[in-house]
Amino acid sequence: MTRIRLAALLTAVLLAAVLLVAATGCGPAKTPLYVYNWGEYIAEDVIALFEEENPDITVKYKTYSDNETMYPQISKSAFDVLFPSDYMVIRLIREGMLAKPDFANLPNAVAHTDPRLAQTRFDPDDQLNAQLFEYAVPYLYCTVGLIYNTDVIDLGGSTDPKDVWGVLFNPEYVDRIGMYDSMRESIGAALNYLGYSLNTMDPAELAEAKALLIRQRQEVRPITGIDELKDKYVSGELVAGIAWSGDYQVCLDKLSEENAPDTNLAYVLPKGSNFAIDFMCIPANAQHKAEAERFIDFMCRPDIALKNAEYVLYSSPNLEVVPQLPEELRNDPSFYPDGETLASLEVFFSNEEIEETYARIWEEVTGN
Amino acid sequence: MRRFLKGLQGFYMVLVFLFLYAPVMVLIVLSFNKAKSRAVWGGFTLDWYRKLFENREILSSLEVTLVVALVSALVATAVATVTCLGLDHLRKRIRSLLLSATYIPIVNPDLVTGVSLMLLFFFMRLQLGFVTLLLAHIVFNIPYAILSILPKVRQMDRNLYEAALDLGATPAQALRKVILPEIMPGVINALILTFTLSIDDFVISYFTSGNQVSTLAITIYSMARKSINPQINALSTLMFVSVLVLLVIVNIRTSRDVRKKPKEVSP
Repeated sequence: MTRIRLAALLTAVLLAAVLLVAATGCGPAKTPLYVYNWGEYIAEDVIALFEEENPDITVKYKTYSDNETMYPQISKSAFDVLFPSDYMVIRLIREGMLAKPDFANLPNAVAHTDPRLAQTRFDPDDQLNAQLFEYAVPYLYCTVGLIYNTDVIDLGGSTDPKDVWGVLFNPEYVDRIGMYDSMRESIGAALNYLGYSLNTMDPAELAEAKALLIRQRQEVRPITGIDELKDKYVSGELVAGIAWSGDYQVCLDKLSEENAPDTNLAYVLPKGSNFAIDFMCIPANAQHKAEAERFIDFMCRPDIALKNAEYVLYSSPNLEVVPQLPEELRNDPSFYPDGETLASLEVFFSNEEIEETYARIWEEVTGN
Repeated sequence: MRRFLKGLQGFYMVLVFLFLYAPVMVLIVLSFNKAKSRAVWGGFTLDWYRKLFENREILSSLEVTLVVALVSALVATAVATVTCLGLDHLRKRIRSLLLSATYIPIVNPDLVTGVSLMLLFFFMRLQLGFVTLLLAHIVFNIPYAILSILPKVRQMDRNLYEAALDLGATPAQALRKVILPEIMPGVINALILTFTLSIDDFVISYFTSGNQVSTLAITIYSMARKSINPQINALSTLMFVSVLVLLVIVNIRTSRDVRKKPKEVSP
């Protein structure tokens, strides 16, 4: 019996050793490319396609859940391609943690990226603002708007923030409004409703937004959450709420299934609301910069960008992709906003002063 | 009255088991749900299982997780077995001192263990990756393995070893044929415990895995931004069933051993 056990143990060790070699050792002279992306943020076959077309590269793919999880990791290990959001790109540039790609090696990015995105302001500092597009290539973007049940609410096609966000603060919908448990989105909706900039530092404007959110907590009693909200919009339990455009797509996906409840949802992007762009960039400590440029350019190639846009269901900044999307998506101004709306959208600025001010307000709101 | 109490007991047991197993049951049912939603039943499907085996990212992190769990469990248990045999022969004061030292990593928050291991690897100029991940898992598994093996070693009659030597066994034979079989239940327990602890771990892996490898826990957590992929339900179901089968096998084996023992003793 013991002998058998020992033999089993030995076999297991040997097996493990073999697996270990298989896991760590890869074929001869293949360059590894370390890609660090959001979870579920790339079409399933894209990496395999890239490796097929670039047989000298093997992609080591790892994922993160948010910018703040990614940030501490990239100074500790050398990644080659990152996908940070706008404010995180600014922070990385400020801290000298990014390398400039050579745009001569990124013909697809140069040819197909929507030039209107570069008109957006990303930081109060002019110099930083101008540098963003020298360091980073837009991947996908999503907007923040209102998801609502069209059987209950009629906005009459308005995109005026007063009408749209007014729903969130309307006591008529008590206990039936959803909010993200997220500081900038919540305060942002209040500021946008009041007609102020999402990045205001004016104490009076901020105090007004704070009072509005506190009153909402008392009178409308919104349900806060993230993932669980989607199921409640679908079931009709919640009639409206603040939502990322990607989450709205997930809700539609759920509604399109057999046996789904008979709910009619719509999404509207008010003027002056928030949008977030995720960029592809190369960290300063990358070991395989040339390969990283090949990967980024590959991701900008229209056929690949289309796959990703259709899988992730965020808006693509790739001009070639948009006309190939399903009609209901490309004609929806909430996903592909017209020039005027796009120009009115703001990204969240982020520096220590802003973060601290907003965190203090958020604390008071959630403490109430 | 007695019958009522009996009924109450049964009801209580049902409640406890419901409480323990309801979440897993929901998970298993949802892994066969055609609809992506958690609220609606869209019909039976094996699609998520099929997609799971085509998903490179999940499969490669599953491979890393299993290899790390297996190797770290084996190494930690081997180290712990030797340590326990050694501890047993120490003087009482030194032994309790060393034992307290092994307790400390267990009460230490994972966060502290993770960060300090990461700093140590930097200090040693080891590149974070598979090797550091494995080392980290071995490190946090050793104290648990010691704790599950030591009681068996303490229960063992010390004279057994000397008797074996008297009867002509070499020390190596005595270890293999007398001591190891005596403490085997503890060793098996240690293996199972460390294996599951290693699969469970998120925090320490997050700090020590670097840019090359990702464990299942890290990959699943990173999907939090979007909806959790139903493939994860399928994967969790498969893992639950395999652990269940493993435990049933172990239990059948132990109960068979218990039944066999008296026969062996009788002449």
